[in-house]
Amino acid sequence: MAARRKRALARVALGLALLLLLGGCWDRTEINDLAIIHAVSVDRVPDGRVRVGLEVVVPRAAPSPGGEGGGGGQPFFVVSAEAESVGMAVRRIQEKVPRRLFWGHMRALVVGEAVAREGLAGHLSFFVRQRNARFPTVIYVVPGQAQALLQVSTTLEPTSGRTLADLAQYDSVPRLRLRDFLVSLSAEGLDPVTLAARVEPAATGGGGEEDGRSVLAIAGLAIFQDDTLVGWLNEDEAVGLMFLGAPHRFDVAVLLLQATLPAQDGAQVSVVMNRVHVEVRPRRVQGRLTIGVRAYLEGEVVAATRPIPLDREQVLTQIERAVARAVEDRARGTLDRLRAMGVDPAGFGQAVHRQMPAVWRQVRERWRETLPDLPVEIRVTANILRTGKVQEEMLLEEGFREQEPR
Amino acid sequence: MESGRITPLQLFLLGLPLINSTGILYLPGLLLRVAGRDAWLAMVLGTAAALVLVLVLAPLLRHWPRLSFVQVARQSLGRPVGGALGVFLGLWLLHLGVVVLRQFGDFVATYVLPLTPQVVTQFLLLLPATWVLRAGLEVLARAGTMIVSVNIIFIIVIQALTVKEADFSNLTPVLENGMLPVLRGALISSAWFGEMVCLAFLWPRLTEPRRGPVAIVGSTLLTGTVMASSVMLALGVFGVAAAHLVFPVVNVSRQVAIGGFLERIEPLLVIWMVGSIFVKLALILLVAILALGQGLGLREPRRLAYPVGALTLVLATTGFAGIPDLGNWLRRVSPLLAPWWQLGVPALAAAGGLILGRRRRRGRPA
Repeated sequence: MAARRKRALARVALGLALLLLLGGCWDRTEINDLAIIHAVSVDRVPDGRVRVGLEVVVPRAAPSPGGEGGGGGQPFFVVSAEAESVGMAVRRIQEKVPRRLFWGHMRALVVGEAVAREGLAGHLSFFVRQRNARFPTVIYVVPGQAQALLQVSTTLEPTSGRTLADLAQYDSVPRLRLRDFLVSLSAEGLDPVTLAARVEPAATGGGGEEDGRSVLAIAGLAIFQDDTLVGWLNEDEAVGLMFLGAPHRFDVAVLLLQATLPAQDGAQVSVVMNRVHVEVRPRRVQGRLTIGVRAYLEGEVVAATRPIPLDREQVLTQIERAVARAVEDRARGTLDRLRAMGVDPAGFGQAVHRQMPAVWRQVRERWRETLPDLPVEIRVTANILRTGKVQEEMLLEEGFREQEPR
Repeated sequence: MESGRITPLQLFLLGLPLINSTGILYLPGLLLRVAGRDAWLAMVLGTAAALVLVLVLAPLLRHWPRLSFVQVARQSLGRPVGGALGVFLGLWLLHLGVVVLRQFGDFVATYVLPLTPQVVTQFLLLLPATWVLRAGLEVLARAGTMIVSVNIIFIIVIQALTVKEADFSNLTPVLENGMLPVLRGALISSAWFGEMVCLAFLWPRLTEPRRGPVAIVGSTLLTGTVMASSVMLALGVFGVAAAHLVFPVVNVSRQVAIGGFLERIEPLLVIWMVGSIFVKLALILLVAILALGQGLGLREPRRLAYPVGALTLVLATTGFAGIPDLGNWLRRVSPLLAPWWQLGVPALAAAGGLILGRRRRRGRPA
């Protein structure tokens, strides 16, 4: 009996001893041994090397969620180093930072134009392989130097990493992550795009004293051919890319379209989109491969520059036609730009690959040469479902009309 | 002699981690490399291996519901031949245990504890597994039931959360390069699904042996569904770029971001993996020592538990040079060798058993 009890005791002791290992063995890390990275920049320096900048969070200065602000001061600092490769530069930076660099919270990767023009794939390898790095990281290309973006002292969000990650949410460009870049790169007949960003003064003019604050701003899209930057689209052209059927997740709710109505003395209406659906259907027209783009959108009138009787059906039809024309113009404009660059970020090739695999096999090799004169038919159907909170333009009401000098 | 009994439901549950553990880690990556966009089809075809196995062995149940196919082989083909088959199967299962332990070690080293020596993490998994071996089938079945039922919830949560991130048009065009890559992939996945041979070995230990085939087929179909949908999700989230990832499913779980607060669910996946691999390892090693014991005619096969455990650990730390080496084995070598012991041994046993069974039946009509 006693021997049995002893054995049971020994087992319990052994079990408890195992608990010691729960700390993580050799990999035990305390949060205050980590330098948490929010954003990373990669720039080209003249002698053929790269400069990597890391935005590291300063925990004591960062405001705690819900509580009072921290000890003050900037909640982040930027460290950088130059080396032959991204990995080596990060190694150099680690030598300057007394805590272990931690990649699990990396929100944004910012790449300078010069690096992007030489090809990104080699530089991305480091981030893709990082054990803790997560592909939801958003990726930006910056005209000029990328590190400048990290050094901007942000106002609303504590770090530029957070700012860059959230910025795209309220803009009409898609939120493009590192993952989207990799997916596009591996897909056939689809060239990658990334967001573009720049530093701008927060407020200009207005006669007041300028406080010199800068903000980060979206500057449209960077257009790639494979992994090499070849050009830019501004935000209006980026919207055109959506109407050409690009497979990225555009947020349509913030998209405002302006359309002119000739039948209403050239009045202009602003329409916000509720839903956009684009289908890309490649087909053969008289033996020629043709891309058919069919866009369907639903919107809501939010403003008009002149009193317009919005409750009349024929007026709504006029607006719908005008919006459809505006959309088509934009899509055409973007298409012309893309043709000039010889790239296919809308994924026409991918559509052919998926819907007509046999045809794709024939055109795959010389797809880029085909692009400039590939016929594209665009048809847009707009549907105005609502007119905002106001049924009929308020300015049309009796009281107002009587006062009008006629 | 072993006398524990388990229920068909327990057998069904034990079958799930048999493939859904290391399989979910390594198999999608291997299949995506071979079959690309059609990897999920290769996964579906791979389940056929387990179904063939059931078809081959099911007739034995009529004649010998209480004997494993190794015991049947010993009776019908004679002690030397039948015994050799049992030892052959046992040694291959031991080797499989080594591979599983190594896969676990490499996964933990890649994702969770890069600095900790593999031998430590492997030992920590192997130690309780060896205790379970020593304790026998019933204990394994109960531990397995507990772990697997929690894991099922994890699987559902992880897959449901990742659906939002996936774009399933990435799966088209289907069969762009014809059937050949799919068949090559199916060969690889069948080496995984063939591990269901462990369940078939345990039929005679069921409370109702005749329901064994149903349990295995059910287990296979559910496993196949989880595996195929995992591959589809990986393709949906990463497109064909998924083929470049070593652990696509882990990376998929890292993509989850719901409303800015529900993120980083990959610890769920790690818990699921540790639990499942534990059950898988214990089950494989248990069947290994039972097969060795029956092949050699040992009275107390449980005594092999500690030696087998120690051998597994030594071989797992020294047997492979790292993930690329392991991948080569899994992709190039194992698919050609696995059918011999997964399907060949049971088929021989079944052939011998059926002939003897018929002869007996003729001699002594029921």
